[in-house]
This record gives sequence, C-alpha cells and structure tokens, in this order.
Amino acid sequence: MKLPSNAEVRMTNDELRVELVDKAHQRTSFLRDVSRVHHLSFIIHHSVSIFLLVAFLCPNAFGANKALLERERDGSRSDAVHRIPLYDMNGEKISPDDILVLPFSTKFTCGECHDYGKIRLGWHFDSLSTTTLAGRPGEPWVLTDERTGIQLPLSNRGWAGTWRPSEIGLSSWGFVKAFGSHLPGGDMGEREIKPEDPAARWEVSGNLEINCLACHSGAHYQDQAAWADQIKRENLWWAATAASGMASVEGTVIGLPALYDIYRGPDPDKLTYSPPRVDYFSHLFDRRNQTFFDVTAKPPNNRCLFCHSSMVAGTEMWKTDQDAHLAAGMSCVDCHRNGLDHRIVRGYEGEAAERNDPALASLSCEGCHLGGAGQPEPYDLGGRLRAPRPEHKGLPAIHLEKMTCTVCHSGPWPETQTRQIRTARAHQMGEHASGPEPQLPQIAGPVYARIGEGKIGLYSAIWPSFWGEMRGGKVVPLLPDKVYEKVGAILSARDNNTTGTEKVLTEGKVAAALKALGEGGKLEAVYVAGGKLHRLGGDGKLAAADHASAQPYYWPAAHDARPAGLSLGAKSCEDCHSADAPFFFAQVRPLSPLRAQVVSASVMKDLQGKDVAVFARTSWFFKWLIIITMSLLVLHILGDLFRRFMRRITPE
Amino acid sequence: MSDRREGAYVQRFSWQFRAQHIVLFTSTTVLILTGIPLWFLGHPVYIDHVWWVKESAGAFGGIGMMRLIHRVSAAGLIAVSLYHLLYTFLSREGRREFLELLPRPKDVADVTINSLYFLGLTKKRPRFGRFTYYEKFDYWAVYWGCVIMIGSGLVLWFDKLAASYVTWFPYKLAALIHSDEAILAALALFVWHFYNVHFRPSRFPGTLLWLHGRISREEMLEDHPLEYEKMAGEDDRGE
Repeated sequence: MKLPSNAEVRMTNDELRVELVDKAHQRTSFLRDVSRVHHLSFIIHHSVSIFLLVAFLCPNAFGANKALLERERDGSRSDAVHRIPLYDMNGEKISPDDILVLPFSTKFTCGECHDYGKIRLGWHFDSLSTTTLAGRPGEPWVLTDERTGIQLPLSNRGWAGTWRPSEIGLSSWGFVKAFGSHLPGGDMGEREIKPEDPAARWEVSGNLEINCLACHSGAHYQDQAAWADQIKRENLWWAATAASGMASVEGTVIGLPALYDIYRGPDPDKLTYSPPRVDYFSHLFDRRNQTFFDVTAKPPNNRCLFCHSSMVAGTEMWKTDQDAHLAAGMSCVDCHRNGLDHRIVRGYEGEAAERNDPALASLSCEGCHLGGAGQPEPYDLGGRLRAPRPEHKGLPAIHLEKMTCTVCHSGPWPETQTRQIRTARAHQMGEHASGPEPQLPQIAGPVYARIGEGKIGLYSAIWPSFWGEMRGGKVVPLLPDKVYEKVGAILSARDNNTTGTEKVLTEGKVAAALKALGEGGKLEAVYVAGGKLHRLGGDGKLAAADHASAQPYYWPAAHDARPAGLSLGAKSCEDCHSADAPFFFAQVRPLSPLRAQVVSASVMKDLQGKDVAVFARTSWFFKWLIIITMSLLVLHILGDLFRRFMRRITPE
Repeated sequence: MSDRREGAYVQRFSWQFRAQHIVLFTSTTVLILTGIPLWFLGHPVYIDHVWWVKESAGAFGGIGMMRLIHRVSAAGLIAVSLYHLLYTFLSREGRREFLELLPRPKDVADVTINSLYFLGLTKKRPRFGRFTYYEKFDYWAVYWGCVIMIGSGLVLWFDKLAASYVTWFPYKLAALIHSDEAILAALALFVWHFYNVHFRPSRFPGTLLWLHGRISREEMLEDHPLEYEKMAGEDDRGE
C-alpha cells in the first residue's frame, strides 16, 4: 500500500494524527486523533485502515472541490441545492447499505466545500480564542445543581462576573456534558482545556464537531432535541446525524469500555452494553449515494430560537407575542449577519468601533432606525430594510443619551417586582424532556440598570450561588459533585421546620454543611448566594457579608422588541415618571436557592445612578475644592496671626 | 444718625440682619451635628469603627428622630434663605447691604495688599469699607453652600419625586455632593469663620456681636476705617 503524497502521519508530544496536507495552501485537514487510545496495537490497526481511506479519499474529495473552497460566492442570491454524498469522520463516503455505517462528519461533509478551519474561528465556535473580541457581556452558561443549590455563571470570554470553566476545574468533557445540549459543536467539543479529565471518554464518544445543520438546516425534521438526547448518551460523534433526521441512532456510549472499537462492533460475548448504531433512511439516498442535504445559507428563525429563546416563567406562550421584527417578517439573521468567518454581528452600540468595521453600525437598533454619521452611505440616513425612523416627538433628548433603545422598546413590561426569566440555554428549553421543570438557575428580569459607564440598559441578572473555599480573600468554587459527595446527606435532609416534607436550603443546613466542608478547621468553606457571602461565625451561626464574588452578573436582554405603540412612555411620561413607576421603583430581589431569613432587596433606581465618570469627576472636584479652599483660608489665618504677633513685639 | 457713633460702640448690624444670622447658624449647627452621624449610619462599614455614631443616634432619640431634627433644621435653613432673598430685594436696607457685599476691584487690591502685609513686604494694611473682602467671601460662600446643600438635600429628602422629575440628578450623586459640600462648609465655618469673628487675638475668646450688633469704636477704626469715615461724613452732613 502506498500513502498519497499529501498524507502525513504526525506525532507530537501528546497526539498521533493522520492528516492530509494541502501544501499549496498551507492547510491541513485533521483526519483522526488517535492519541487518545493508548494502545499500540489499536493504533497500528487503525492507522492502516486510515491510510487506506486516505488513499481512496484524496483524489476524489480534495481534487474535485478545491476550487470551491477558494472561490468567493458568485453573487447569486439563490441558495445552492446540496445534493451531495455524506462523509464520515475518516473522510470515507457513506453508503447507507453498508454493514457498518458511521455517523456523518460535518468536518468532511460540509468541509469539503466550505473552509471548516475558518468557520471554526466564528463567534459560536471559538470562545477559547484570544483573538476573537469578547465584546459586550452576553448570556453566560450557567452551571446548575439543584441538589447542592449551585447556579454559577460561566464563560470563556472573560466577562467580568463570570467564571472561566478552567478556573473552577471544569474540563472540556465536563463542559460538554453540562451544556452540550445547547452547544452548536466545535469550541470545547473539539479542544481540550486543562485540567485533563480522567473521566473524559473522547476515545469512544468522539469529538463534538460543529453541527452546521443546527443553524443551516432548512428541514422541518431537524431535531435539536435529538441532538440533546445524544449528548446525554455521550454519543458526540453521532449527535449531528441523529439530529439531522436522516438516520436513526440507537445505543449509547455510556458503559462502553474505554478501548471499545467502533469498527469491530459489539463483542457477542459481552452484551451488557449497547453501542451506538446508525441506520440511514435509505430512501433519502440516490444510486450514487448522494442525498439532498436540506441546508440554507440564511438560518431560519426556528434554528436560532432553539438556543436563543427566553420567557417570563409561568407565562403561557400563546398569550405572548413574538419579537416585533419577526412579526413583521424579518429573520434573526437580517441583523445578526456574518460572512464565511461566522463572526456574527451581535448588534450592540459600539460594536462597529470595536471591530473596526463601520458597516456594522447600521445593524444596531440605533444605526438601523436612526442612521448616523460614520456609517457608509446611504445607511447614514437610517431606515435600513424599511425600518421606521422614529421622531420621538416631545421626548427630551436626554432619554436617548442616557438609555439604550431596549429600555423602552424591549423585554417584558415591567411590574412592581422583577420576575423570573427562563432562557433556552439556562433551562434546557426545547428538549421536551419529561420530569419536573428545573428550578435553577433563577434569573431575574427585566432589570433597568447602568452597568459601568454605559447607558441605562435592559438586563437579565443572576446572583451566583455556589460553595467555595476562601483562599487569600478570594473564593474558589467547588464543583457540584465534590460538594454533594461531602455534604449531600446534610443538604438533602428533609426540613422539619417547614411542612415536614419539603427540602429547602435553609441557613441551618448551610451552616452544618460549611462546618463539614471545613474539615475541622483545615480550610474555610463559604457559601455564596443571594448577593452575600455566607461563612460560619464564631458562634457557629451563619454570618452574611458583602463580597465581590457574590455580586450579580448582568447581561443585556435585547429581545423581544415591542412596537413603538407598546413602548415605555407610549401612554404618557407617567409610565416612568410617577411615584410608583416600575422603571424607577420596582423591587429587585436577589434570587437564590437559599431560603435566607433576611434578603436585601434593592430598588431599580439604585442600579441606575452609578455613572462612574460623573461620580469620579464630582468627587475629584470637591476633593480639590476642599483642599485648595481650606489651604488658602488657613494660610490667611496664619498670615494674620503672624502680623499680629509681629506688631506686638515691634510696634509700628 | 449721629447716635450710631455715640459712646464706645458703633451699631454695625440691624436686628433684621442679626435675626437672619441667628436662624442661619442655629440651623446649620444642628444640621452638622445630626448630619455627621447620619452619614456614618448610611455607610455601615464605618459604624463599628466610630463608637460615637450609635451613641449620638441614641442621644438624639434614635435614627428616626435624628433624621426628623435634621429635616426640621433643613426647613429652617430653606426658610431663612428664602426670607433673605425677599429681604434683599424688597427692603431698602436689604438692597443697600447687598450692594455693599458685591465684589469690587478694590477687593482684589485689598487681597493683594493684605497678602504683601502678611509676608512683611509692606507696612500698609488695606483700609476696609463696610465689609472686608473676607466677610464678602463668607457671605457668598453661604450662597454657594445653600444652593448646593439645599438642592442635593431635597433630592435625598424627596427621593421618589426627584427620581421621577429630576432624573439628571441621581440619588447617589446627590448624596456624594451633599456630604462633600458639608465637609467644606463645616471646615470653613468652624476654622475660618470662627477665627475671624471669635478666636482672633483681638476678640478671643469670642464676641456677642451676633447678638447685639455693636462693635467698639477702636475695632471699627481698626477694621472698617472707610466705613467709619463714611458714617462720620454722613453724620456731619446730617448735623
């Protein structure tokens, strides 16, 4: 057997890879990471198989479509019909009638014509990047555990108030297990971060490739609930295939031995496990094993909404309206656009400057509706896509200077108290799973606040709740399983103080758990919840105090936009400017799993006055006014005393 | 008019002026005494480190009573400020005093000469009229202080109305300005003003000028020679 000229076996310190190298364009196509199987015979066995596949694949796949990879779109606004073959993770063409068929790989199926490496650097798939701008804080991933009362906002983007998964010891494997249901693939599904997780099962689960169909599928049978189900079964390789509706996937990776060989199939002598098996629907394939891959360049709204929905808890969907833009016939991607690089326009003010691309300005609320200097002509006039140009008659200009558009025009109508918000990603919405709805995380909204030096905006808020260890004044969070292992019995005890059957997290339980976690004084355990840090006091009781780690994390809630006629202020100025208007006086109660005796709620206006620049300038002015004035006055007094003294000793 | 210079004393301030001053300093003193512990009570982080805060709250009859006293005093300050405006514009005496208190180029010259005198660079002292430049400074400092303290204080007092109608002046900013200006006002009052009117060697340990409005002929000649000469001229013409 002879290797093709562009196939290479590469061995680094920690992995052995077989790659196709396109030397003309300095691009490599990762075929298979075999390093995770630490078994020499296994490696050799598969290397031989892969070399054979490479020999077959190269002239067919890469020779034919290299031109497509490099070519810009020709200007046609019609979508290309994708009647194409599917390829598995080894780059082998899939034939549904084969005895052993593998799930299709987007890296090889879609990547045959579209630059997977470039797409991989897109916003959704590159949170670990140091080159992608983190931009305005967004919705975090929320690590939740109802057993231990944990709701911890996580993000790799370094947004202040969130924790990086690596900081709390959450591995890539752990992250995918926790959040994979609403991950679009790629990112931590393909890249391992430290610490390495001994529980990781990448060898048998495979990587979680970018699922292009999660967004671009035009098929009504694209089923992200099936994707979520596959993630729960650790069937990462199989998830995209199962969700596509082009095949059925049975079995689970859970329980498979670490060295299970998917090419060999199950051992007939060991039928205690049920490995994943794919059955493609053969009627979807033609004689050449090509299938109609129902994809569209502009993702339909339904695809976006699986991960980007939110609602007020307890409301009935049929009584609510959708976003005014969608109701008018627009789609999400009319504003949230991207090129092949998948660096999606997020649409906030200032994004154009941050990304040094003036064209983006017209895709924010203000840019699209009001236009403005600095935008390319004719978008400086506003009114893009027939967007109405508001006159804001009678509205003092200070409103536009001090507040974002979303304050008046988006989100649920404010009431006397913030309400609980459920979001798709935080509450696993759309999975249609049975069982009780998750109680955590508890997210509050709408919150009208000024965060940093920006305008007053519309936000959702979460108060971190987690167990941790105090180290040098900082709190290091403990992972849920570790907490449950040590104090699960205490936390899950029935609470006799209430109904006798209810399990609630009381201050007494937290105090007992902190004592147990403290291991007899070896370390100081704390519990952060409801905006406070709780620690054991000298009297053995729980003591609450302010701490930076307990501060809420706010992120902007841009949707659902309401039409002008339903905006705040549409009725009258009294919508906000009255003695009990929610905009200023709604109560913002920190939400947490802890049933605390005392909960410190604040009023909305307290979150709006923190104009840091004005405060800093005012403070600076008065500080120097006091210093200079009093210095001059004291000098005057001293001068007067001095002359009086001199007159006394030397009369004039 | 001749009776103004009769005897050892000269009548310097009218009863109107003195009455307004008494209400002003009484309300201001109570505002300072109640305002300091109220500020500490609004910043719990300091309470345990400043022992007298809780003691003073107790002495006033609790936080609620202390806040009430503070607001009653504030009402007194507002009332006397408004009355002073009326007095200034509606009464002949008020208009005359106001005109005397307006800054003039001579005040700049007086500051310069006095500074040189303090430094020993000249033996001449400036000759002052009815009001010295530092008395004018005191007067206008009270104007500045009243505008800021009353304005920010009203935002703190009527926080809901202010949040609705004075949205450009948020509560926390008002609190910052209120406390910072209070520090300046208290320092200027107890250090500067008290030195000039009570503690300077010629008056120590104090004066009752604020009560009876009279100063000695010697003091008048020393501190306000031009005013004395003007009074003499007026009296002579009157005779």
